[in-house]
Amino acid sequence: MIAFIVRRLLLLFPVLLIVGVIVFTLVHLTPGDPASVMLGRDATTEQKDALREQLGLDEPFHVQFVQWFGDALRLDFGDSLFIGKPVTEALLERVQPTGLLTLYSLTLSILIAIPAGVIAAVRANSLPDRLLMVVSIGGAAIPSFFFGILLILLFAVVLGWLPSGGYADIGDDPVQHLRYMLLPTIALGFSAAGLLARLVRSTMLDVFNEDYVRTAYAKGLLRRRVVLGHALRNAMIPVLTVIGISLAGMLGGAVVIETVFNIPGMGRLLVQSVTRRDFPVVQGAVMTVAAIQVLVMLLVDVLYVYVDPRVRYGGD
Amino acid sequence: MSQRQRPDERGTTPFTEFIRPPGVSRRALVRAGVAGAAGIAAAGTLVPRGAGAKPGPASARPALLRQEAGQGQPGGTLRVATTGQPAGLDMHLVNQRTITLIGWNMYEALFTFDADYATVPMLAEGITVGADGLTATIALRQGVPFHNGAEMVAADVIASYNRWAPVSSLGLAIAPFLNEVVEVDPYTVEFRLKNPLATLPSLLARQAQGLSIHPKSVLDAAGVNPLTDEGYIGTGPYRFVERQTDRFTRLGRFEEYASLETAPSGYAGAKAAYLDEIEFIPVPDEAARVAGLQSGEYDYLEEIIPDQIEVLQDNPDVTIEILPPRSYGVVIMNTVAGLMSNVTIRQAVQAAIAVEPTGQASHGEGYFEPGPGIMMPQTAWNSDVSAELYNQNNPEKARQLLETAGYDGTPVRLLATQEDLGDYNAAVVVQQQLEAAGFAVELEVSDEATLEENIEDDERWDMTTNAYVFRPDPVLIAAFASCAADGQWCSPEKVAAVERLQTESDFEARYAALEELQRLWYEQAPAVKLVNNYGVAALSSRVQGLLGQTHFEIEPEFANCWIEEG
Amino acid sequence: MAVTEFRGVANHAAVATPDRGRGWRRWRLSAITPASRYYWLRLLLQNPAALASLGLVLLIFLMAVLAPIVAPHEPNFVDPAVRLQAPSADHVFGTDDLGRDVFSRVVYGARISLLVGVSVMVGATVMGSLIGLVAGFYRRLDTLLMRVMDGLEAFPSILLAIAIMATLGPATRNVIVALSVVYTPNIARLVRGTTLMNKHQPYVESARAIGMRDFPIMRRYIFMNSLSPLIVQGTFVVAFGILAEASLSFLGAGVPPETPTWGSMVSSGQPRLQQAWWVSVFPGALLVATVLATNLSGDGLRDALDPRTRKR
Repeated sequence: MIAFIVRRLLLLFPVLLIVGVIVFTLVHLTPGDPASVMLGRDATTEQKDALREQLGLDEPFHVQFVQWFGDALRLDFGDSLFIGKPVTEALLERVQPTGLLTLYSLTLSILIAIPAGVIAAVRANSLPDRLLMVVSIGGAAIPSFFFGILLILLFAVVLGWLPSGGYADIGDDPVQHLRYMLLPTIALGFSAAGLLARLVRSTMLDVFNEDYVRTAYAKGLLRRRVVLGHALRNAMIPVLTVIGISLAGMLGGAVVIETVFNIPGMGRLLVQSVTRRDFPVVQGAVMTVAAIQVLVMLLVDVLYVYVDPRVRYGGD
Repeated sequence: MSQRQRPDERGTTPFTEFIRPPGVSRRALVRAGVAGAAGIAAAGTLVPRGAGAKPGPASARPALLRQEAGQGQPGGTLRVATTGQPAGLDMHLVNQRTITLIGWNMYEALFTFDADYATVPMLAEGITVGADGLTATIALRQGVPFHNGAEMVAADVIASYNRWAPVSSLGLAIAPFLNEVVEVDPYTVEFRLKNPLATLPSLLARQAQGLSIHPKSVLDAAGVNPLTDEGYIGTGPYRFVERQTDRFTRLGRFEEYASLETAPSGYAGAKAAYLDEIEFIPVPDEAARVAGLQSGEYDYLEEIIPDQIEVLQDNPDVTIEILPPRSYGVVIMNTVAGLMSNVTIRQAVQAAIAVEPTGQASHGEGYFEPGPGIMMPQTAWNSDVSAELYNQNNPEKARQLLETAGYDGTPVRLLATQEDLGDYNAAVVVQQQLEAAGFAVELEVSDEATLEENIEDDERWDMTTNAYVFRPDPVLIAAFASCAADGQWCSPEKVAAVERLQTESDFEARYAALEELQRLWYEQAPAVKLVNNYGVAALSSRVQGLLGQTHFEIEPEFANCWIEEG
Repeated sequence: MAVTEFRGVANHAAVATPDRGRGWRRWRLSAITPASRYYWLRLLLQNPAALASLGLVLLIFLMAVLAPIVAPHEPNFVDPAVRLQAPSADHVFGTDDLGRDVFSRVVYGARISLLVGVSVMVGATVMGSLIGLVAGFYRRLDTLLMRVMDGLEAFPSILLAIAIMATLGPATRNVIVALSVVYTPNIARLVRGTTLMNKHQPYVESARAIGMRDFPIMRRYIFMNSLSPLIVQGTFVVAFGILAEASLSFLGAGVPPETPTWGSMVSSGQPRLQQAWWVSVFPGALLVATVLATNLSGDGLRDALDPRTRKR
C-alpha cells in the first residue's frame, strides 16, 4: 500500500511539470512585459533592460522556466506586483474561504446527489425518477452566477435573512461565518449535485444488471439490502472519481461564486490579478489550485483501493 | 516618457504643464482632475471673486439643515462598499479615487476646503505672505499628535513635502515657482518662491493625491518605496488598523485626535470621530453593492448607477440624495495623429452628436442635464459661448463636412472600457450616431489597463469616451491647462487663453479668458462635450450627519457622522 | 464478428457525425443492435422527454439560423429613449439599458451560444479522438500523451479557460479555442478507454492479420466503436461549452461585449436586475432551457444507444 502511494506520488511530478509548462507558457505569451508593468510605462528602455536582467528575463525561455519551476516546487512564486507581498503569503491568506466553500459545497452536493441518484435508479423511468432527473439536470443547467444572483435577490434583498455577500473568518465568528457561506454553498453545491446525481443513477443502473446483484436478489435478500449493501457500494467506485472531478469543477466554480458573493478567496484573487496584470500571482494561484486538484485525484485513487477490492495497487 | 511631455519643449508656462508621476497615466490624471482639486481661484482672500461651488440645482438638492457637531452617538462600525481594491494607501504615490476616499479619514493636509470651497487651514494655523509675495510663511498648529504618538512638527511637513512634490502633479506645478522650503522653528515652515504664487494654499490642500502630512521617521524609512501597513500614520480622526487585500481596510477611532474648535463646514472645522470603526470593503460588482445596501450589509456606497434609485427610493432603510453634477461626459479625440488630426473631421463628429441619448444611456433619464459650458453650471465659470455648436444632432452637416475633408471611409477606432459602464454606454451611442452620419466606426472594448496603454500610443486610437470630473477652476482641468492630456489639444490660441487664466488675478479678466477658451474648444473641437451628470449619494438611513455636512465632489469624510440604531 | 462484414464500410468517415454515418449505422447493425438498425431510433421516439428536448434544440437551432427573419429589430440598434422598458407588444422581452430589443438580441445570441457550443464539441472531439486513439493504440506514446492530458485536467476548466483567454484576448474564436482545449482531455480519455478495450478484439486482430495498416484499423473499427459514447459525451460538451462561454462572459473574459450572447446579456443585465429583470432573465432562461434540452437529449441518446442502461 505504501509502495503504491509512493509510486503515485512520484507520478505527480511529471504532471506538475506539465502543469508548470502550460502555466509558464501561457503567462509568457500574454501580451505585456513584466518589466514594463513593474516600472510603469514612463520607464526608459535602459531601466527596463536592467530590470529584465535582474529578474532573469533576458535568459532563454527554458532557463527561466527551470529557475521558476525550481522556486515553485519550494512554494516560492516570487512577489506580487500589486499587493507588495510574497505570492505564497497572499495565497495563504485566501486558502480558508476557498477551501471551506469547496468543502461545504461538496458535502452539500453529495448529500443531495446520492439519495436522489439511488431513488431515481431504483425507480427508474418512474415519475419520481423523471422529476428528480429533470431537477438535477436543471441544477446543472443553471449557470451558478445566475443562480447565485437569484439567491441573493430572494434571501438577502426580499427576505433579508442572509447577507448578500462578504466573508467572516471561521475562527472569529463561526455563526457569522456560516451565515455568509450558506448562499454561496447552495449556489455552488446545487449545480454540482445535478451532475453527481445523474452519475449515481446511471452507475446504479449499470450495477443492477450485474450478476452479483441478480444473485443477491435470487438469494432472497431484501431489496433495500441489495440496493444499499451491494449496488451502492459498487456504484461508489466511479462516483468517487466523479466526486474528485467535481471538486475540480468546484474549485473553478468558486472563481465565479466568489465574484458573485464577494468572497475574498483564491479564485477572486486570480480573476482580479488577471486584470491587474499581476502575473506572479496568476502563476502561483493557478499552480496551487492545479496542485491541490492533482493531490485530490491521488487521494481518490487511494480511496479506490479501499472501496473496490478488485483493484490491486500493485497493478497498472 | 515621450518627448512631448517635457514642458520646455512646448514653450508653455511651467504651470500649464502637468507632468505625470511615473506609473500614473494621463487618463488617470484626467479622472482625478490634474491639479486635483479645487481652488486656485478660491484661495481665500487672495483672489477677489471665488469660484466656489454654488448650491446645486434646486430640483436636485433639497435644502438641508446643517447640524452642529457634538450631537452624534458614539459607537458602531460604518461599512463602506468601494468599487475596488485600493492599491495601498500611499496617497503621495498613487492617485486613485478609493484611496482619496479612505485616505482623508486618516490623513490631513495643511489646508482644506470649507462648505463654499474656500481654502481654509487644517493642520496649518494660518499663512502669511510677504509684501513681495516671495515668502509664504505657514504656522503650524501645536500639540497635534500623529497616530504613533509623536507630535507633528515642521520637520514632518518638510519631509512630507519633499517626498510628495516630485511625484504629484500638484507638486510639479509648484516646483517652477519654488526656491526652497525651510523650517523656521518647529512650528513654522516657510516657502521661499521665485515668483508669487497666490494659489499655494489651494495646491497644498486636501484633494486627490494632495499633500498628506506623515511623520518624518516613517517617510525616511520608506524612501521612494510605497508605504507599508506600518507606515499608514497620519493625524486624522481615524487611524489605520488593518487591511487584507480584497477583503477590507479597517480604520479605528483615534482617541487623541486634536480637533479644531470651529464649526464643521465642508471638509473643514471640528471633526468628531463617533464611529468605533470604519470598514472599507471592495465590492467590484454593482449589483452586489446595491443588494448589500438594501440588506444592511453596507452603509455607504462609493458609487451607484442612477438606474438603481428607482428601486431604492421607497426603501425606508436607504437614503438617496441627488447631488449637483460631479462630472460631464466627453468624447476625446486624438488631435495629433490619424484621422482626427484633421479639424474638419473633428467638426463632423461634433455636428453628428446628439447629447441626450448619450446621457440617457450612460446615466438614465432625469440624472443628467445638457449644457454647453465647459465648466460645471454650479461654478461661477458657467458660460453659454458657442452654444450653437453644442448638441447639434445634424448628420447632414456632418456628411458635408466629411465630404469637404475627403473622408475615405477609414474606420474610426473608438476605444472604450466596460469597467466604467457610463463611458461604455456613451461610446455605443456615439458609435451609432457617427455611423448614421457616414463614419465607419470600430468600437474597441478592453480593460482599463489596456485602454490606457493604447491611448499612450498616438498611432493606436482615434477617439475615446471619458468624463471630466468637477473642478472649481478651469486651470485645474488637465485638458485645458496642459497640452499633454489625452488627445493632446494644443494650439497657440489655446495656450494664450490658458496663460491669461493663470496669470490674471482679476476675476472678470479670467472669466473673459475662460469664454475665449470655450470658444476655441467648440471651434477646434478637440473633444465633444456630452452632458453634465448628477452625483448620487446612496447610504443607509442609519448614517446621520453625512448628507449636507461634508462635500461629495472630492469624496465624503466620515468624521462627524454617526450611526443611529433603531 | 467477421471482418468481411466491414469491407464495405465507407472509408471517408474519419470524423463521423450522424448524418455522414454509414459506418456508424453499420456499426450499430453489426456490433450491438439486436433487432433492427433503427431500433435505437425507435427507442428514442419512445422517450418523450428526450424527444421534446431534441425538438427544442432543433427549434433553437432554427431560430439561430433564421435570426434575421425571426428578430423583429436590429439586435445592436441603440435607442436610449426606450431603455429599460418592460416587456410589451413591440418589445416582447423588453429593452436593455441601451434601449436595444432584448428579444432580438436573444435570437441573435442563440447563434453565438450554439456556435460556441457546437464548435467546442467539434474541436474537442477532433483533438480528443486523435489523441485518445493514438494514446490507446501506441503504448509508447500513451504515457506522454496522457500525462499531458493529466496536466490539462489538473486545472479546473474555467481557470484554464481564463488563463487561455487572458493570453489570446477577447474574441469568439478564442473562446472556442480555449474551451476546445479545456474539454479535449475528457474526450481523449474516453476514446483511449474504448481503444484499449477494442484493440485486442478478434476483429481488430483479424484486420491486422490480413495486413491492414494501423490508421485504417483505428478509423474503421476502433473509432467507430467509440462513436456511441462520443455522441453522448459530445452533447454534454455542447452544453458545457454554452455554460462555460456564459461564465467567461460573466467574468469579463469572453467574447467582445458588443456581440450579443446569452452569457454576456445575463451579465450586462445583472447590475440592474432589480429594476429590469427581463434583461438578464430571458437570455438566462433560454440559456438554461438550451442546456437542459441538450443534456436531456444526450441522456435520451445514451439510453437509446447504450443497451446496458436500457431498462427491462
